[in-house]
Parts: sequence; structure tokens; C-alpha cells
Amino acid sequence: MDKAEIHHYKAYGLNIESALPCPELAPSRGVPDVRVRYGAVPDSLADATVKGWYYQARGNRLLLIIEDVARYLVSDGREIIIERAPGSRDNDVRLYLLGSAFGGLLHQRGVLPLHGSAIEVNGGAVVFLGPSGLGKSALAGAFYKRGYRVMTDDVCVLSISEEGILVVLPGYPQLKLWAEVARSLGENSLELGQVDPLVEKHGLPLRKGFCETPLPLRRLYVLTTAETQKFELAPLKGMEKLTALLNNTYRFCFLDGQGGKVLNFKQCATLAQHAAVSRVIRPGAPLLLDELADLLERDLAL
Amino acid sequence: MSNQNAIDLNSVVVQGEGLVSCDLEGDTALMSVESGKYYGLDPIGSRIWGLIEKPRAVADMCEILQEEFEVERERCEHDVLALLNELAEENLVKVVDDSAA
Repeated sequence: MDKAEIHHYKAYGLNIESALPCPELAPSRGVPDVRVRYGAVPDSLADATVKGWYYQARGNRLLLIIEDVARYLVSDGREIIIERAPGSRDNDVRLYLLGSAFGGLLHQRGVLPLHGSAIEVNGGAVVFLGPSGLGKSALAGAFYKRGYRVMTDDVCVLSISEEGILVVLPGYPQLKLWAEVARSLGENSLELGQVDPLVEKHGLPLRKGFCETPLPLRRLYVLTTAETQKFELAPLKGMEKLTALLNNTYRFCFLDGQGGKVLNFKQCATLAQHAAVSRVIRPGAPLLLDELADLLERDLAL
Repeated sequence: MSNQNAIDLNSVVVQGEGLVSCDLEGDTALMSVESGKYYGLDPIGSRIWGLIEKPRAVADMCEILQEEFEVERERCEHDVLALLNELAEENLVKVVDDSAA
């Protein structure tokens, strides 16, 4: 490992300078907004106001402790310091960097990261929200196969102005798919790298199928599942809308009551006031991807 | 919960402090900065909430609402007091001294 080598990427609407190579990110020549470097990271934060089993936060500082992988210190929306555990693999260190660490950093920067994937439809962004396992990535994959460009997978960043101008920022050109889903989309999962050691998800590089420009938000779909035989689709209103957005805020657990949760509430409220949000209830297994994609294509054509 | 400070028709009440609120198509969403808890008010609750932006006597409020919602006096007073006491338990409204109103 060449210690002096520094890499330049863009992701989540940010230019990133990184000591850790992240081949899944697109290269960038822009002035860095964020610096990722190696250094010493403490094993606790003094006076943390938020504490969970793998995180501690106070104000604009977030500490992540991932056993056997690394500790990450995320500060002021501008810096991530990584202290790797002995024998850790680059893959694992990247997984938590691009997920939780950047999730915390995005909150610190005052943009809204939602738990969702997004695609481009006629120059606007269509976002699929929902907790892990509900098929957000698979659905984005199904649209990708239909020729739509993907904007982001799993973490969807929204920039929200007070006047209610809503813009979705591109993530990075990769879809994380279950092996079975990748196969159903005609991809050979063995050729794709496994991105998460805990679950059998594979990284599908997007290349041309990636939209790297920010786009105005067009529609949000909240994916849910129920004991039902067929898909149900209904627009959300008022409090329901706000609740769905609060519930799908990425790494909501990192936020404290004083600063983070107040900002998050205001952002979700502005989003609820200005965006169209629909709920999709889908039957449990099997994941009828094509039928769901058909349904949403029809809904968007209205 | 102590009933000592229960709100009645003679009470003067006002919105609690440390709350962030937003209007959502007639509903009102509230967040308590201190507890981080969220609350929702329906359109009628939202109207009541709007009426106590500044301190107001409950009886006065009921008169306004009776007219606006064409509801009987007794029913109106009952519902308003029930809501206000519920909100007070969560520190979303507070009773102010008559003399300060």
C-alpha cells in the first residue's frame, strides 16, 4: 500500500479526497469538499449526547466503532479519519465508510440523506424509500434493465431549500444486489464482487447507466410489505407523509434532539409540504419485480 | 399525573415552549426539542393550536370555535378541554397566570 497515494472521487454531490482507494466511486478533479484520511481515532467521545451500540455523537462529531473493521471519526461534515483494525479488508472498511460514515457526514452538512434508491425518469428523480430488504435496490435494478439511468442506491441525498426547491444528488455508479436478483436481471453474480461480508450482496457497476447530474425531485415511493395478494398504491397526505419521511431518514439514530433532529424535522416537513409521496404495499415473497416496475411506470405516466 | 393544574374554562392557555411546528395540508406536526418526540394535530386541533399562539382564555376560544364549526356549546367545551388537558400532559400547552394574560 502506497501511503502517499491520494485518490479523488465524487459521490453524494461531494468531491472527496481519500487515502483509501474506492474503485466503486467515480473519479473527480474538483476541489475536495471532504477529506478521508488515516489517523488515530479515540475509542469514545467525551460527553456524547447520542450513544448506540456502534456509534457515539455529540454536535458535529460522530464516532463509529465497527469491530474487526475500523473506527471512524466524522467531523464537521468535512473530514473522516479512519483507524483500521489489524487485518481488516479494504472492502469492509469501504462498506462502512460509504454507508454509515458518509450518512453521518451528510447530516452534518445539513442535507437530508434518505434510505432509498433513485432513478431518472424524464429528467426528474424518482426515489424508492424503505428499510433494508424491501427491494429498493432490486427495483432500481429492474428500471436499469429497462433503460432508465440510476442516480443512487441505498443512500439518497436531498438538497432542500427553505422555499421548497427539492434536488436529488447522485450517489455513485453501483447497485448492490442480492445474488438471486442479479441473476434474475441477467447478471452473472460471480463476476460481481461481494460488497458486504454479512449478506450475499454483489456490486453491479453501472457505467453508462448512471446519472451523474443532480435532478429535481419528481416523486417518492415508500415501499412497504403486507399480507396481501396484490400490489396497492396510494398517495400519502399530511402527517402520514411526514411520518414516512422521518422513518426513512438514513441513520436517523445518529441525530440528537437539540440540533440534528430539529433540522431533520424541518427538512422532512418542507419535503412533505412540496413533494408527492405515494405508498406502495407489496405482497411478501416472491418479489414480483417486473410487475412492480410495470405498476410504477404506469403511475408515473399519469 | 396530578390534576392540580387541570385546565378549565377559566384557564388562560398558550402554546408551550421549545416546540418546532409545521403545517401539513391542514394538519399540524409538532416536535419537542427537549424530548425529541413528535405529535400530530388534525385540522380542528390545528385551529385550536393556532388560537393559542398568544395566551387566550379557554371560554373565549370555545366561543370562536362554536361559531366556526357550528357545534353545540357543551360538546365544544368538552372536546376542547379534553384536548388541552392532553396537550398539557405532554407540556405542549401551558397555563398562564390570569394577571399576565
